[in-house]
Amino acid sequence: MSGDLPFRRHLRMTPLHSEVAAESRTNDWVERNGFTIAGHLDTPETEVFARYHRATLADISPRFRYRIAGREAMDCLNRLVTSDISTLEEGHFGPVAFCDENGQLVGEGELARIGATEYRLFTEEEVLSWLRRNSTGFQVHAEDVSAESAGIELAGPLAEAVLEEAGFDPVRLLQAGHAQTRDLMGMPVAVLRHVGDVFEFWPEEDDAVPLWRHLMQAGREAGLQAIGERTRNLVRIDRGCPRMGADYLGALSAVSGDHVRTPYEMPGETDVDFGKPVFNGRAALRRMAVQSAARRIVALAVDDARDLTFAIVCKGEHQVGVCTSIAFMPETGQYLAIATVEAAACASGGLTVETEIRRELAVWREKLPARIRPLPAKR
Amino acid sequence: MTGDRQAYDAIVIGGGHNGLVAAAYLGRAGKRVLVLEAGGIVGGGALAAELQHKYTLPAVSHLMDGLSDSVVKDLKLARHGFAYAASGLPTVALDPDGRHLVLTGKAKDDEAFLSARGQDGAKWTGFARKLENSAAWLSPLLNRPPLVAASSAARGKLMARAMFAEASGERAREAFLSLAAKSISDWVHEELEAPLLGGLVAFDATLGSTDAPYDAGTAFRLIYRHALKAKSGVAIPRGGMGALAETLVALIEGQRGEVWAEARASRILMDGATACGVVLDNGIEVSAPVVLSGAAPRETLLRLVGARYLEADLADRLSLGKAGGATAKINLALDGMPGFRGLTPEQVGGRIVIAPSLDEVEESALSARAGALPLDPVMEIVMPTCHDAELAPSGHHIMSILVHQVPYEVEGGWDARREEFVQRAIRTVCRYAPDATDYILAGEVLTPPDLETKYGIRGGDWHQGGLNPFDLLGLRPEPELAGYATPVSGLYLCGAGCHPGGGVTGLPGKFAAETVLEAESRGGRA
Repeated sequence: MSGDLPFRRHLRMTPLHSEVAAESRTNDWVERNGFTIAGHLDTPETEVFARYHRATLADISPRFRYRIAGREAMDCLNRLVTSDISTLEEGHFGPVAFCDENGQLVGEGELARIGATEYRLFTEEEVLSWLRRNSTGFQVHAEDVSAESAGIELAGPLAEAVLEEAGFDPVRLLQAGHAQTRDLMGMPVAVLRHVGDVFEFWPEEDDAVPLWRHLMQAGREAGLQAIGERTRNLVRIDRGCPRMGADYLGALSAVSGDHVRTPYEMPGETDVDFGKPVFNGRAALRRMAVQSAARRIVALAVDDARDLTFAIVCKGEHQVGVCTSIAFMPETGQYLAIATVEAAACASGGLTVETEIRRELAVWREKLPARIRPLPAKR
Repeated sequence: MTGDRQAYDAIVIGGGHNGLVAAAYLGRAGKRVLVLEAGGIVGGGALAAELQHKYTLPAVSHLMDGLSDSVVKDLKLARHGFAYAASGLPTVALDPDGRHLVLTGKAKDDEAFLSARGQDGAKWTGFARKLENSAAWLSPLLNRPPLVAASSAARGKLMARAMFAEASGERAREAFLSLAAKSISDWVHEELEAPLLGGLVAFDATLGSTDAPYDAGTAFRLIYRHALKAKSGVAIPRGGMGALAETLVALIEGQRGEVWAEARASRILMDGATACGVVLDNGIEVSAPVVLSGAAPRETLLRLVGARYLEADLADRLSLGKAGGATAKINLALDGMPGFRGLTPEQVGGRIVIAPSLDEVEESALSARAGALPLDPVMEIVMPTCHDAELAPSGHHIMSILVHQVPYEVEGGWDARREEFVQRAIRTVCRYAPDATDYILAGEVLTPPDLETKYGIRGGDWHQGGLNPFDLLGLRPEPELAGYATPVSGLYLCGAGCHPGGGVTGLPGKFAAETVLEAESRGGRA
C-alpha cells in the first residue's frame, strides 16, 4: 500500500538533528511533540556529570513557541494567566500558568515580553486553540511560530566560560529572567537566561547549525557535552518541576477529573493574583484558595542505588499516592521522583514506595522509605 | 428628559415585558429606574402595533396564558387598570372534514365532548391527567428562582436534588420523569388515537421552536408550557397585547421611574470589572450602580459588555449558542367576520389551531429545517376583536395568525418568497373559512428575521434559548448566569434567556429584581 494513511504518525526531525546525531554514541532516540530527539547521546553518568560540573548543550527545538501580538496583547494575556503580567517589562520573561473556568491548569510555560505589544509564550504542550479562543474580543493575534526557529540550551556551571570562549559576552552578561534578541555571528538570536546558569538560544531555523557548531567548538576546553532528553528530564525531576503530560494532564486534554491539577496542588508557589478583576478560573480559584488542597505534587527521593522500579507511594499499609516521573541520579546514587500524594500524608513523614528489585534474573518486592525533598528555588 | 450622565438607581436595558416587570419591582422598592427600549414601542414579545391608525394588532404574541399570578398580585396590576377582555378561552382544533374539537380544559366537559364524537374521550382524560400531574410537579420549580451551583461538583449534587428530592409528590415525580426525555410523538402514540388531538398536542409541544414532534424532549416542552399556565388560562388582555406593557409603564412612571423609547444601548459602561451605566448609540451616557438587561444573554455579555470581561470558557459557550426561532406572524385587518365552517361565533373567539395531525406538524418541521416553506402550514389563529371590539372600527375584525415551523433562512431568500408564504397561509385558512379573503383590507407579515430586526427578538427565537430540561432551571442560560447575577459585578440578566424562560410570564423580570434587592440588602452587589 502506498500513500499516507490518516493514522500514520510522522516523526519530524529538528533543524539540529544531523548535528545531534553526529554526537550520538548510543543511537537512543525518543519522541517529543512529534519530533525525534536524542534520549541519551553518551552514558547517563557522563551526561549528568557534565551537566552538574561542566557544561552541556541540548536540542530543545520541540518546545512550542507562540507569538502573541496586538494592541491589546497585554490585556488578553492578563485575562489568560493567573499572575499579573502587567508588570512584566520589555526584555524580561517569567513563568506563567493558565487555567480553565474550573481553576484547573490548561497549560504552563514562560512568557517573554518582546516589545510593548508583542509577547512570546513557550510551552511544553500545544495550546494554540486555547490562545485563539482567548483572543476573542481583543485586538490581538496569536500564532504558532515554532517552525520559524530552533532551540539550543546551554547549561552547567561552566556555561559562562563557554560563552566567553565563544565571544558571546553580551549573552554572558545577561541577567537571569531577561529575554533579549542578540546579534551573534551576524545572526539574530533570541536569548533567555534562567536562574542557575541555563541559557536558551532561539536562532532562526537556518542559523541553528552554525550556532550549535560554534558553541560545541568553543566549549571543547570546558568539557562541553551534548546531552539528550533523558538527562534534561533528570534535571527537571531534581529541581522538582512537574511536567504537563507526564505528572498531570492539561484540563483540555484530560478525560478524568482526577488527572488535572489546580495551581494550589503544584509544588512551590504558583502566582495567583486576585487583584486582577477578570482572569480565567478566578471565581473557581477564589473558592479553592480558602480551603487546603487534598493532594499535592511533591518531589520524592529514595535512597537506594539498586536496579529497581516503583510507582506506588504508601503510608503504612495504605496507598497515598503515585510517582509519575522517576529517574536515577548517578551523582548521589538515589532515585528521584515527582509524585502526587494525599496532602494529609505529606505532613509527618513515614512514606514508602513499593519497589520491584532485580538482580540478574531474580525479582522481589520491597517497601523502601521515601522522603519528600525540599525544593530549590524555581528557575 | 435626556441629559448626560444622569444618575439612576438602576437601568434596565430592553423594554420587553420582563424588563418592565423588573423595573416595576425595583420601583416598588423605592428605586429610581430608567428603562431603555431600542424600538419605538415597549412590550418586547407582548406589544401592540397600529395598522392604518385604526387597528390595534397583537404585534408578536397574541395570547397570554402564563402571566404569573404572583406578578399580577405583587404589582397590583388590576388596580392599575390591567384586565383581561376574555380568559379561559377554549382551544379549537380544526378538522378538514368539519368535525372540529373544542377543548375547554375542564376534564369532564372535554371527555363528554370527545366521547360524543368518538374521539378518544377517556384516553384524552388520562393523557390530560398525566400532563396535569407532571406539570404540577414542575410548576413550583418554575415559579421560584432556580437553585444555583457555582462549581461543577456542586452542580451534580444540585441536579440530583432538584430532580429527586424537591418533588412535591412521588407519583407526580414519577409521571414527570417517565415523560421528560420522551418525544411528544412517543407519548401521543402510546395514549391517543384521534389524529386531531395528536396534531394539537404536537403543535403545542413544539410551538416557538425548531423542534419536530419526533424529537426527544418535546414531551417535556408540553409539560413545561402547562406548568407555567396561569389561573386565568388562555386569555386576551383588554386593550390589546400592549396593555400589559402600558400598565407597567404607567406604574413605573408613577414610581419616579422613566421609560425611554428609541434608546438603543450600544454598550454597558464598565468601571474596572464593574458595570456602572449604559452608553446609548447616540452617545448619551447614563450611569447607575445596577444594570439589568432583558436582551438575550449572548447579546448582553458579548456585545454590550465584551468577551474581555468574562472568563474565556463562558464567552466561548455563549458564542456557540444558536438561536432557533421558527415562528412567523401574520396580522390581518378584516372588514367583517369570516365564516368558519362548523364553528359557533363563541368558538371563533377561542384559540383556533390548525394542525390536522401529528404527522403534518412533523412534516412542517422537517421542511422548515431544510429551509423550505411548509406546503400546508400549521398555525394558531386568534381573533381578539371577538372579545374587545375597540381594537378595530365597528364591525371590523383582526385576525392574528401564528405560523409555526417557518424557517429563519428560507431557500431563495425571504424577499422573494414572502408573498408565496402569505398566500400559502391564507389558502390554509380559507380551507376552513372559505370567505376569509373577501374581508381582507390590509395586513402585515413578520418572518422570523423580521421579528429580529423589528422587535429585537434575536434569531426570531421568542424564548431566548432552548426549553429542554438542560436549558432551564439552574442551567439557564449558563450555570454561572442562572442566578440572574453575572460575573460582571453590578450587571444582572432579566429576560427570557433566564429561568423560567420564554412566554409572557414576567417571572424572569421579577426574580432578577428580587435578586438585585436581595444583594443590596446583604450590603453588597452580587
